Amino acid sequence: MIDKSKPDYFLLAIVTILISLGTVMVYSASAILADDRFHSSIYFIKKQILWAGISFFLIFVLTKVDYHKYERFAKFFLLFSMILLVVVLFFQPVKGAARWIRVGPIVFQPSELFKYALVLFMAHSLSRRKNQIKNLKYVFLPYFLVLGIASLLIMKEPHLGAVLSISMIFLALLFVAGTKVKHLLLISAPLAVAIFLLVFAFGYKKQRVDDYLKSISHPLEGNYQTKQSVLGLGSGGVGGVGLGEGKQKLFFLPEPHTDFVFATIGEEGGFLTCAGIMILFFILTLKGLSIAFRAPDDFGFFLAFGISFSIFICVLINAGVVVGLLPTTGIPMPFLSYGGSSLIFSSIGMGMLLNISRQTRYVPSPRVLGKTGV
Amino acid sequence: MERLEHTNESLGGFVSRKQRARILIGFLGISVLVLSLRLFFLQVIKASYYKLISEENRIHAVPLPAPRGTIKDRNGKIIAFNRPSYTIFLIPYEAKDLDLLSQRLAPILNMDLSWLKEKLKANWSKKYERIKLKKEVDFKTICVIEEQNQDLPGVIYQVEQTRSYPEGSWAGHVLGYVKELSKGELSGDLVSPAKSADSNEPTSLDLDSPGKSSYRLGGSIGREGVEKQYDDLLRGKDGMTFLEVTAAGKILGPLEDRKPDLPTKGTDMKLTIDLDLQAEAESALATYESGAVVALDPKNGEILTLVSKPGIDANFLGGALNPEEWKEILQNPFHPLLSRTIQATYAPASTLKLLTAGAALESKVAHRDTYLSPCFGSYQFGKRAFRCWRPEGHGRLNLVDAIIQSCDVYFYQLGLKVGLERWSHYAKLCGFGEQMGVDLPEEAKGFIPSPEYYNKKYGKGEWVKNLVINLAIGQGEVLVTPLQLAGFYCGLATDGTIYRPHILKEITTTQGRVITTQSEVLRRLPFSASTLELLKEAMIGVVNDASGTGGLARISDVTVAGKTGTAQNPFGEAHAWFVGYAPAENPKIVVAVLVENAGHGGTFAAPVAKAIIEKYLKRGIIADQKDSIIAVSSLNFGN
Repeated sequence: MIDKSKPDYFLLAIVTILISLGTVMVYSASAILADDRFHSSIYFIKKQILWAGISFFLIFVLTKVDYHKYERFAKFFLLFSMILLVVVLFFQPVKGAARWIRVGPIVFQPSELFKYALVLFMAHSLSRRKNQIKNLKYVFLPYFLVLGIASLLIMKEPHLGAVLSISMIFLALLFVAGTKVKHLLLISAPLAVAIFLLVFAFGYKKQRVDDYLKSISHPLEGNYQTKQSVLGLGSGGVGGVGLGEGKQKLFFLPEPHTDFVFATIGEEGGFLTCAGIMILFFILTLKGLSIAFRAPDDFGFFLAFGISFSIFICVLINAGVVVGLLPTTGIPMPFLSYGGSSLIFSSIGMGMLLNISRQTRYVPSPRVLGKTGV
Repeated sequence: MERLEHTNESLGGFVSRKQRARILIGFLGISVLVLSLRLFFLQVIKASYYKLISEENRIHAVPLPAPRGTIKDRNGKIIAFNRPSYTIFLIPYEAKDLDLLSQRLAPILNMDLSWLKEKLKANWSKKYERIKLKKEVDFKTICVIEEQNQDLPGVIYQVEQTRSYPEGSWAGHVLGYVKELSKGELSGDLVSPAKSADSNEPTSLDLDSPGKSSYRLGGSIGREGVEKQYDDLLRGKDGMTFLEVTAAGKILGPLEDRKPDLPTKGTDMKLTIDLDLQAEAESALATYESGAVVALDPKNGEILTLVSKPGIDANFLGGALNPEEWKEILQNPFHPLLSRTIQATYAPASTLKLLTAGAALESKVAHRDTYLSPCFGSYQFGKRAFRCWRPEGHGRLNLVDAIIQSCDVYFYQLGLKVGLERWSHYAKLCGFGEQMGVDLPEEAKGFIPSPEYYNKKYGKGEWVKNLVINLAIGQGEVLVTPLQLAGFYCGLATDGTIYRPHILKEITTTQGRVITTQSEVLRRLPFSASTLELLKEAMIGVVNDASGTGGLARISDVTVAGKTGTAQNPFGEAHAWFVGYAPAENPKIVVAVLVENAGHGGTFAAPVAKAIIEKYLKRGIIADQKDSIIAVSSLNFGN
């Protein structure tokens, strides 16, 4: 049944470039840190290469797996990931946040898993109920219930950044599915109020938010991470100081290889590299959306859309933090940041997306369609 | 497999989905645009600004202290140099256990345990920054630390330069000492404030100009004496080495693209002080608790000797004084910190009779053979009797004999003849009551009372002219420093010319150029040649005449001239003065001696002056001979 058409090689090329660049930059950013902490400069890169290998393998395998096979696990995944969101709270917090589950050598964030489970579940559910999508009671409420519970659990970790990115993906999916904007606003208003209260009334992360507001105009007066990050970017200038020559990673920049790898890239590769990466991600997202619109069915559409969009939201939040426009959140840069959890989940998404791309059908260009449409 | 049907309904949903997707794509596009603009702003527009700050972030400028200039005496003997000494530091990062370490370290360094702990705790947070524990640790302690270095992680020692004074006992007054700048001093008016670092847009980094603020925390500064006076020259210019550090301050190594600024050694200098003469003066004063000696070269104002007793050891002052030691110094009744030669003022007593005599001769109220009422041991003025120092009296004297025998009664009358106004006028013309401008810090002015002063003090017309009676013999409110008195006698010894006294003889610049201090005429005494001639004759008589008061200053083959003085002291024995010069026909040295609480000047001060003059002139002959021998031998060698 599955046609033998080729996957989107252009998309594959972008992903390959990003993962390779990420591996190089993780090494550059982490070598000194690794040497200092573990007396081995290859401590982090060793693992990252392993994960990159696993990622490529997963992309290769999943490209061949018909995405329709996931649909029947959608509800199970969702339930499973929500259980893990409870389980994670019993793990030893790292730097005050219980975000990671450790089972033997495997360390991952259940919120990451939940994000993809939610995308899968919504793709499944929205494609089934697309005629009832405008009905507040039957479709809408269950989704919000799921998101609400999950959000509360993730807040408990706490991981506000994950809640925000998941909510944005969620709202985007509902929006594109044709939900009435009035309903969206109606339902997301309490959520916004809740977050607002949490931030301002209860002082949760209030300091961070204050730092943030200040650091937009004066990045050097904000918090330490933003300051160091901006200094790194600024030192890079147009062309960068050269691979491996960055100085901010000499313990000035915390997490130079994980959440702030983009700052290291900016310092060593300069504005041109940063802009190039932003363009690559933008093209990747557009490609993903184009695949969505050419998907053979609604499930494929929502799945492709959700995956593409969630990658982009991560890029947006991470880059926003690094350039000092957003408060620090702990969202990694997809494909570039050190960390198996993020890299492997993103790659799984890419594998699925590539499989959808293999099953696309011809669609007239949107422009023509727009003219002929109702 | 359900396939999307192109029904009207689904097509409608599809189109609306497309439209909504476009809105989202628009949102994505705008986000990318915003991020790119921000990146452009940070990385292109503000790049150089952030780069500058980032540099500052990781560069640690470590000062390289400049070696201080060496100080030698006039004959080239070293009196201040830099001695390498051991300083113990601790690096908290390597030490780890504070309590255990301080327990081990306290007995080795002979320090109070709680004090040590306190000091370590205060600096513990900067893990990689070394804490200075103790300076000038002896070699034995270093051996102990070296032996136990396994148990003393993070304890290191380093060789530092310590200022050292081989002739410490008197050097405290003349040379002063060197001590580290404290935080308070650095921020106070002592030094110019450093550039404020918190301006929003620094155009250049502070470390670009390490020499701009020449003082830095932990740097040394000369205090008192020559070290203070010539600190600018002696200090040199500290260098700076630039190290690359991590955020925590851990040193990664020298910065590759930035060469260290090497320190410039301080200027070496030669003082006018004669070390041998200084030692002679010290030993001549050895039996007395307190006193002062100034010896000048009347031909150029060079200070040959400057002794203030009790002396204070410059090595001791420059070291780490504990509060008890400091208290002891401050509570010492003899005030050892006071440099008596230039900072203390005394009544000059009879040594000032030459001023009164000079003023009388110049204003023509007296001449050589003026005989006044004879001395019978006291002089009655109004209801008050002014006594002469010699109860049995001097009888009838002329001016010269009155000086030789130091008859007070004669000078009471002479003072009345001169009058306060004229006396005060001449005293000021002779330089009393104002600083001589010696190149040493905190010179005292002394004091010469004037009619204006008494008008102010007692009210106009409320005081009687008999005040001049006491002033005429150097008692009462007149106050002078030993240096001023020596300067005055320089004028008396020569043709009236007084050179500005100075202690710096020459400096050797870093380029090796020798610059010699040019002698500068400070003033000329307001006395004519005949007046000076008469005063000289009298001063020779003081020492060489059988009736003279200064006989104990007599030297067999050299004519010494001078004047004794005995300053009444309400707190005890009188202060003994002798000021003189020699050889009388061609003066080479002027010596002012003050012995506190001793008694008669002729008895106690004159022998001290004699010893100094003898030493200087006799050795001078030997030195002259040596010079000529060397000259001859080098000539021979040349041939």
